[in-house]
Amino acid sequence: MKPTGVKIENLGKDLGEFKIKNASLEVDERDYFMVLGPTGAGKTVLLETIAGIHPPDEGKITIAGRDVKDVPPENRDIGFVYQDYMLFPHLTALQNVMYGLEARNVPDPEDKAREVIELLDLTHLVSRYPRTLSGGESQKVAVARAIAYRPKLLLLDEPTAALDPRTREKVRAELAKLHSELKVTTMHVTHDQSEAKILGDTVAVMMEGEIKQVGTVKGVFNRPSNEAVADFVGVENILRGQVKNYSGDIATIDTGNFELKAITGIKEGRVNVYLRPEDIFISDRPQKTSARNNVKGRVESVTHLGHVYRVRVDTGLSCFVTKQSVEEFSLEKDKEIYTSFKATAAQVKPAQ
Amino acid sequence: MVLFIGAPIANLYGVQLFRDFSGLIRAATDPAVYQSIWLSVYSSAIAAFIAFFFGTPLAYILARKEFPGKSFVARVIDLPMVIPHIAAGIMLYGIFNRSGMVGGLVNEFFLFEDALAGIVVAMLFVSLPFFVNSAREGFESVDPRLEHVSRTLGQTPWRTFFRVSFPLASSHLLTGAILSWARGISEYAAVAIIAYYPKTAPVLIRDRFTAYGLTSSRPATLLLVTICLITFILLWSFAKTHEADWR
Repeated sequence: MKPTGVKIENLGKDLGEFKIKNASLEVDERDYFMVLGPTGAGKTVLLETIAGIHPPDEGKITIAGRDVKDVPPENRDIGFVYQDYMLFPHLTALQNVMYGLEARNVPDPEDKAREVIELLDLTHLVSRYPRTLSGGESQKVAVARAIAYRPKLLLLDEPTAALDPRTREKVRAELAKLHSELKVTTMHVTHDQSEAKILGDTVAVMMEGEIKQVGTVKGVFNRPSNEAVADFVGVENILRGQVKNYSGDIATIDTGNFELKAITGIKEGRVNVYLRPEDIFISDRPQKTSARNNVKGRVESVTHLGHVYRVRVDTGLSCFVTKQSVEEFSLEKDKEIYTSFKATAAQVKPAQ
Repeated sequence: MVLFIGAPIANLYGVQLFRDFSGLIRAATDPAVYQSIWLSVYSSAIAAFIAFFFGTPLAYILARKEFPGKSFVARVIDLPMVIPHIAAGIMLYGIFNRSGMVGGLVNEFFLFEDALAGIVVAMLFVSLPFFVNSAREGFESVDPRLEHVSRTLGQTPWRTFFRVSFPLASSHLLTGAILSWARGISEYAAVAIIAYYPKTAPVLIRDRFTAYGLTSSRPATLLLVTICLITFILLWSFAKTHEADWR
């Protein structure tokens, strides 16, 4: 088992508009931990409280095995990156990166700063002032500044949210590379589920100040613990139904529009079924495999989403298909099609 | 409005330079005139420095901290702007005269009445709000998250203030100091009550105006205005170049 990097127990903080309620979680050392939640969920407050900027109303925070209750931010051994960079405008990029090294009286601060600057490929920017930097450059300088001292914990508050999509991808790649090289325990807050999937080892879903679910990225995305989490992590198909019969781990569930088979331990009663749109396939004839559910329906709409198309069917199902499938099956409104999905893809929960 | 401000100044220079140039030369070489102007300039500079020294921490606290009675404190700081300055002079004289609450305590070795210290006290009283309000605005314009970042990077609150908050608010601090200095120089009423002597420039000008009229008081006025304008322009241009490299 890995040692613990950060441990939060029953943390509470009320800042009026934003709050944290009874939050508990553990981040393994060297883990890349994502905190995923909608705007206003209290994610920034959580990071700022861990950083020591707000004293908690209740609960306990441990960083690298040390209770930080009475430890001021400057002694917590952390790096912090804000969404809008917060570079010191009166200092050059190099001086910004040197700032933490000088504050901590590290010998040869300039050499150490230049090492990090080189690592992040920022050498050409050293003498520039922040106002002359682009968003992506600013964010990389902010990251360099936060890690120059090699903190025990790196806190990233929506570090890519203010960037354009292409720069965002680049910065994500840099963050992943940096983490694989430096292995600093990282907590990264985002509202973007694809970012959580790309970067995270572990993810916590935070909503309305509460930690709703913690687990591996795969676990949380494929097995959300409740409807609110399911909805937030992009499970577009949340179906209400009734177990009709049950045999050999397989329940047959009536959703009103159609029946489906799902592998579950729930044998009876009213249930909710979560089904991710990317787990549903479309074709113009029923699939022959016995493990699949086949549901006949008519296309209601086809929407272009950039890389994929979303197809809504009159059975209430929503799925993603490629451009190739749209052309192959001539998908358009009122076209009769079959949607199919594995019995293991449907997650069944007792109705709340 | 610009004309409203510009016309009297233009008139002052026009009349003095073209109709009574010899009067101007006489005033410029009169020790009573240049000494009074110099006294005004440096006593007001002392007052501005005191405002800066004590007003900066106060402005920072007002900008950053929440505490009971904060808006009361902020309103008290504004009071000198609404109290008639003649009344301010009377109130200050009440405390700082030879037997007043403060003046009485130190009268054996230090006098406010008719002394430099009295002039400075009067100037400080009327100019303090200009400095504190400008400085407070400056600190409010600094994103508190910059200070948070500085703390997480290992800097103490004290050093964060000097490395981040102070330099970023410096143009407001400088503006505040210039305004309060200028306000101090211009003060007549409060200064005249507590310290008629040594005569500051406004007291001298008033004196001459009352005794001999406009023609006699105008040359000294022109010299005072000139000194103020030059200093004002110099300080502004310094403030501009000072931050041009990063802003």
